[in-house]
Amino acid sequence: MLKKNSRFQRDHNFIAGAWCLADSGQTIDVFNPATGALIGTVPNSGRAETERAIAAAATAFEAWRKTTALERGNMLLKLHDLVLENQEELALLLTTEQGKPLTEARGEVASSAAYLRWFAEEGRRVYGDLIPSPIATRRLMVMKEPVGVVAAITPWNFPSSMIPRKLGPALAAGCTIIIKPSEFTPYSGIAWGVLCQEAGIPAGVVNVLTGDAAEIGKALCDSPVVRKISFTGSTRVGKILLKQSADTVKKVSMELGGNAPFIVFDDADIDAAIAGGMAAKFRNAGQTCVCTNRFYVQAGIYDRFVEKLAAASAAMKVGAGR
Amino acid sequence: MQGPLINEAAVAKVEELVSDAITKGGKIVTGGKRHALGQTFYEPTVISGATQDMRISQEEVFGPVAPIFKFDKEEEAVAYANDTIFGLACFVYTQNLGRAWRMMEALKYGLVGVNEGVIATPEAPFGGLKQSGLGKEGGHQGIDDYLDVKYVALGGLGL
Repeated sequence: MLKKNSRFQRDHNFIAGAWCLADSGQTIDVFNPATGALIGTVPNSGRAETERAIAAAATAFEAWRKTTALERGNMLLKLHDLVLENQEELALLLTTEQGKPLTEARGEVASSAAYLRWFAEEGRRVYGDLIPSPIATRRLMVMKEPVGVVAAITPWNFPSSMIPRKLGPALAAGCTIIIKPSEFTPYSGIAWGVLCQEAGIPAGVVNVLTGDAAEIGKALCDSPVVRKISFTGSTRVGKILLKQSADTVKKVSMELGGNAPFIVFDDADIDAAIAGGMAAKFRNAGQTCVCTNRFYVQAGIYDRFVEKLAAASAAMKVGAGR
Repeated sequence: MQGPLINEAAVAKVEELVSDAITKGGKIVTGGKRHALGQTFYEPTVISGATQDMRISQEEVFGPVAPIFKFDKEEEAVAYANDTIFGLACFVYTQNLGRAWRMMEALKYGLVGVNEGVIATPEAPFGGLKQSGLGKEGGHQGIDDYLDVKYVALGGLGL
């Protein structure tokens, strides 16, 4: 097993502000895809741990929703600063468990911080409405309120930045959250527990647990307390979560699969198209939901485009990310 | 620089779609197999002569494989591009303003890159159409999904 060299590499769930193992003591092995080496083990949690996380988030919601948008924004900015201060360490952890080149991992961590900053700012601009009343004796208005406890299920291809895309708006709005990172890349998810703790975010506002994806997902969907589920992953799993969420009529956000076309016309700047195409295709070894899946090239430049894309692809270095 | 794929299942999926493309007449221009480094490394791959009957035209390969399809007319490109249950990102390269605008409107996708290949940013709404998803992340829209909208009518105010 690799020597643990980061305070962010925790082997525990983070529930109600406490670090804990699975009730059963069972664990999941996590491997470095570049070497096949075992990095460590994380809790193999299930329904019971999930229900405790939901209860913790529900309790924390009562106080969290009463904080001001400015207070919440300031906490998110503190989290933003912590992420950037630890960019290198977080990027190393990310590359170790996910495989992407360190340059891309640094970029992903920077993007994590950028999402926090954006939502720290947006939270202060959640306006309601006053509606001109058609009845003279009445006044009509619209209020915006946090939905409540939110569940986030996040993927292995962007194990860091898919979390603040959900945690950022959730916390800014006044919601509390339960995060279930992918079992393939759990450490970058668990790291958010460490970061939130260090940023002084109150216990129970952010909970992270790892384990059996199907069982945790089902427990989150079954709970009437969880008012929203946000998922990034495959269309297949998204459909399962949508069906499971129907019984409790949850709000749902689904970022699912793609099949991106990349269309190049005869009149295009072909070198710009090659540069854009290389980034759109091979970033993260082609493992992103916005990655080009199909190049459509007009007949007049087809042969030249094939030749240039092949040359650029063949010239690309392949290797361990760090 | 390209790293490994996430696991064996990911490599198996890539191999399956590449083999399907070859069976249906696709030509490997570069790559096309596991990398000499072993583990889950796969060679950056370009396939020419791709056609709509290949599985890769409908299924996400999620790996370093670039199939290249040929088209003649603009309408044909639109029809091929939209011939999918998905609608997340698409990209168009052209120097013709009218064509760029027509493509923006014709493509049924939540994200459109015109002469740009990497476009996600916190300031803009990220999200797919069709079976690529529901809701937006980022942009001013990104917080809406976390808010309840409550309408209140106040009476008895002595007005």
